[in-house]
Amino acid sequence: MSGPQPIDTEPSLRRRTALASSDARLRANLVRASGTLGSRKAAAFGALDDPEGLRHQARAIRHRVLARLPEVLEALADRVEAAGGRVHWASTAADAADAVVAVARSHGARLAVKSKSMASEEIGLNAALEHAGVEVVETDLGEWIVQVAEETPSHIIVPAIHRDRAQIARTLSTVAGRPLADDPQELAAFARDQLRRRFLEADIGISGVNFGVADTGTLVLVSNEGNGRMVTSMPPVHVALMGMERVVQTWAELEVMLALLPRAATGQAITSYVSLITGPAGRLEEGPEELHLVILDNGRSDILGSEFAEALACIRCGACLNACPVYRQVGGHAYGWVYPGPIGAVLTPLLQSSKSAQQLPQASSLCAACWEACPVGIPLQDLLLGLRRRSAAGAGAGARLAWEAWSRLWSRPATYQASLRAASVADRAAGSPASLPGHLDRWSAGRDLPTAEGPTFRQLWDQGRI
Amino acid sequence: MTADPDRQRFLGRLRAALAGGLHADPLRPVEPIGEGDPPPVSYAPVPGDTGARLLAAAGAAGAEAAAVTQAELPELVGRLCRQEKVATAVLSADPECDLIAPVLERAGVAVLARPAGRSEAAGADLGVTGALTAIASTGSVVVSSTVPGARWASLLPRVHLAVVRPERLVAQPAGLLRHLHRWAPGGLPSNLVCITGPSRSADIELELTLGVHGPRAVWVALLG
Amino acid sequence: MTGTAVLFPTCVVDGVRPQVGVATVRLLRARGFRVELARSTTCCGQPAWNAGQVDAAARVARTTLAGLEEAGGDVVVVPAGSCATMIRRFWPELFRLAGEPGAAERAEALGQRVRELSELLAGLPAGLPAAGAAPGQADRGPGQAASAGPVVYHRSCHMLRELGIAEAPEQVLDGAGVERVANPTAGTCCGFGGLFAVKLPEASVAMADHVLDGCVASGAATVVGCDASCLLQLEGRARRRRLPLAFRHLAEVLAPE
Repeated sequence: MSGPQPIDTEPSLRRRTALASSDARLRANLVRASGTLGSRKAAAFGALDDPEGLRHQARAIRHRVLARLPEVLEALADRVEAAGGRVHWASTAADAADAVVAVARSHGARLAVKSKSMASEEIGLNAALEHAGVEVVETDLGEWIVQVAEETPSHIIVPAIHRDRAQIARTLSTVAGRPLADDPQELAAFARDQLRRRFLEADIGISGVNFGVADTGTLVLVSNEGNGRMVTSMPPVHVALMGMERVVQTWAELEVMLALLPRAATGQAITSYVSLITGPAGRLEEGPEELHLVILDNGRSDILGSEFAEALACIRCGACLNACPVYRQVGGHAYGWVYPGPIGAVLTPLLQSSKSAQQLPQASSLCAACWEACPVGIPLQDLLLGLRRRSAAGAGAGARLAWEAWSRLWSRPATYQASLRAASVADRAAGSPASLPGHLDRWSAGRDLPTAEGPTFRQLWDQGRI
Repeated sequence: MTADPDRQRFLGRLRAALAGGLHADPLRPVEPIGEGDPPPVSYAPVPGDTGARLLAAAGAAGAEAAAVTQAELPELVGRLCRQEKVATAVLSADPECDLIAPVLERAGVAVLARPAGRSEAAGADLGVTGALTAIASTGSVVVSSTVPGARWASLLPRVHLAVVRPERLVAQPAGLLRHLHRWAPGGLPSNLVCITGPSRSADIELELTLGVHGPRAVWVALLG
Repeated sequence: MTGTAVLFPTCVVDGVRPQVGVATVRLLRARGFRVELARSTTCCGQPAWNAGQVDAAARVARTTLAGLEEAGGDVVVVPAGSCATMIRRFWPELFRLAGEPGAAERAEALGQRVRELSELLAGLPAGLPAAGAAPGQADRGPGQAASAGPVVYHRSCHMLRELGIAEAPEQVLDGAGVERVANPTAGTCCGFGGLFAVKLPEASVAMADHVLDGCVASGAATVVGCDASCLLQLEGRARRRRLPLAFRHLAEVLAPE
C-alpha cells in the first residue's frame, strides 16, 4: 500500500482532544517534558549575546531564502550533481516514494535503515518500501520505540515523549523476549545491540535533511545518537529526503541556523554530531558509493504562493510544541497527523484537504506562546487566524449567517444593551455564538457558569450609582 | 542538468507561486537584512584561552579532555585503556596516530588495523583519530572522510580518542563554517563530521543516556 | 488633574462583571481622572474575529470605533487585556481585510490613545497620562478592597504577548503594597481563548486545571488578573473543583471603597 500517510479522520478533533486530556498519565508525561525542554532551551539561549536579535536575523534569512527558493534549489541541485550525487524532483508524495523505491529496486535492496525524517512519514515511505519488499528499520531510538509499539511519533524531536519509562520497557520487552528493566541506560544499550547489526547489514540508508547549503551542495544532518551517521555512512547507498524549503544559500546563513536549532530543540549548544555531506564517497574515501537527494514539494509550492508562506520558514525544532498549552494537555496524537502542535495545526490543513485537517486551527486558544518560542519568529497565531478566515470563507452559509445575525444585534447600541440586560448569563449571551446549541452545556460540563444578575454596568452608570 | 523535465516543472511551479512576491505579514513586518551575509553569531564571553575553553566545553559535553605533551601521552593512553577496559584498537591514517600506535602496543592493546576498516572498527574497543580542526566554544572535534579510517574509527568502536593539535583550534563554529576554504582547500570532502562528546539520547523521559549508536566515551587529547 | 478618561466597558464587564467597571471608575477618579462612559459603543468584535468571520467582526467594530471617536477624551481606558489588544493591535488589520482602509487609518489613530488599565496605571507619572512599562506610584486608596492572604497574578496572553505588558500589573500591585507570591505557571494560557472554551471544552478545562494547580501551589488565596474572561474561566473551574481561591480583577483589588 503506497501513498501518503492519511490523516486520522476518525474520531474528530474534539473526540481526540477529549480522549487525550482525560489521560492523566499522558498529561503528566507531557507537562514534565514541556517544562524540562522549556528550561533547557532558556538556559541554552542564555549563552547567546543577543538572542532576540539573532531570532530576527534568522527570520529575515528564512524569508530571503523563501523569496528566492527556485534559484536556491537550482544552485543546490547543480552542486549536489557536481559532487556526484543524483537529484530527484518530487512534485507529489507518490513521486517521492516512487523515487526512493526505484533506487531501492535498482540495487536489489532488501533492508533499509532510516534515521529520523518527518518528510518520510508525510509521504508514507515506509509502507511504500515494505510493499516493494524492502524491510525498513527505524533507528532513531524514539522512532524505533514507536515503530515497535505500532504507533506514530507524537513529537517532532522526542517521538516517544508521550510514554514513560515503564511503558517503554514493556514495549521493548516484546522484542527482547524477556522483561527489560525500566532503566533508560539499559534500554538504550538494548537498542544499540539490536540495531548495530542492522546498520552493518543494510543495503540502503535513508535520512532526512536538516538544511541543504546551496553554495556547496552540502546536506547537513544534526543528530545525537549516532544513528544519523550510521545511516549515512554504512550502507552503500544513501537516500536523503528533503522538504524543498529546508535550504539556505550560504554557510554564513547555516551558522545562524545551527546556533538556533539545537538550542531551541533540546537546549544544546550543539548536537553530538553535525554531519556535512557533500556528494557520495570519492575514489579515495570510504562511505556510500551513491548519494540521492529527493526534493519534496507535495503542496509546499501552494503554501509558498499563499498568505501562509511563512509556515515554510520552520526548521522543525519543536519549540512551539513545548510552549503550547494545548499540546501540553493533549499530546501529539490528538493532532491526527505527522506534524503535531502549533506548526502541525498550520501545516496539516495546508497539506491535506480533508475536513478533519481543516479542523486543526481550532486546536488553539491563540495565546501566541508558539510565536514567542519560535527561533525563526514565525507568527503562528496569525497563520492560525488566517486559516480560520479561510475556513469561514469557504464554509457553507450557516455559520456566516449566524455570525451576521449576531453582528447586527451587537452593532446597534440599543439592541446590544438590551441583550446584556437579560436576566441570566444564558440569556445575556443569547444571539451570540456563545449560546449556540450545546455551547453552554459544554461550558458547564466542567465549569460552573458565572452568575450575572442585577443591573449591567451601563445601567448602574445611567442610574447615577457610580 | 537543465534538461530534466521534472526539474523544470518543479521549479516552474515555484516561480509561478512567487510571481506576486513572497507574502508579508502586515501585522509583523520582517526586518530586512538586504544582501550579503549576516554577521557571525555573537556569544556571551567565556574566560580562558581557546585550549582551556576547548577542554572545558568538551568536558561539559561529556568527554574526557586533557592537555598533554608528547611525553605525557603514554600516561593518558594508559589511563584511558584502564578506565574504558580497552583491549583492541583501530587507528586512522592521521599523522597524530603515529604517536599513539607504539603507546598502545606497549600498553598491551592489540591494534587491529591502521587505517581502520569497517569491520575491524566494528570489532574494536577503541578508535583513534586526529582532528581536522576543533571548536573551543562547543568542545567539538572535526573529522574528515578524506583521512583513511577516520570515519570508522570515530563512529564504530565503544571509545573514541581524538588527538588535537592546538594550532588547528578555532574559537567558535564560525571558524569552521565560514572558513571552509581554509579547512578544505581542494573542495569539501564527502563527509565532515563535527563530534561533540559521546553519542546520547534523551528519548526516554528526556533522561540522558550515553552511547546509543555512536561511541559511549570520547576522549580529547590536546597535544601541545 | 490627569485629564479625561473615556471608559470602554467591554461586553464581559458590562454584562457579567459590572463590579469590575465600578472599581475601574473609582480607581481612575482616585488617580485624578475625570471619567466618561462611551455612549455609543458596543463590542470590540473579537469573538467574530477569532472565528475568522471578518464581516461580522467589522460590522461590530465599526460601531465601537465611531463610538470611541465620538467620546473623545485624553485616553480610552479598557479594563480587559484582550479587548485592548483587539482595538490597538488587530482593528487596523480587521478593517483592511474588510475593505475599509479609511476605517483602518482611523483605528490606527484611535489606537494611539487606547490603554489597557494596568498599562495606564503603571505608566502614570504625575501629570499627563502615558503608556509604558515604567512602574507608577502607589494606587493605594483608603480602605482598598482587601483580599485575605496573598495574591497571585495571572498574566493574560493577549496583553502579554501582543501588547508587551508583562511586569506592569505586578509592579502596580507591589507598588500598592499588596502581598503577592510568584506564579509558577506565569505566561501559561488559562484555556479560555474565546470560543475555544466551548469548541474543545475538555482541552480548555485541562488547561485551566494546569493554571489553577499552579495558583494553589503558590500559596495564594486570591488570583488577580486584568482580563475578566480569563477570571471567569478560572473561577468557573475552581468553583467546580471547590478550590480555596478567590478571583479578583486588578481594579477590584486596588480601587478605594
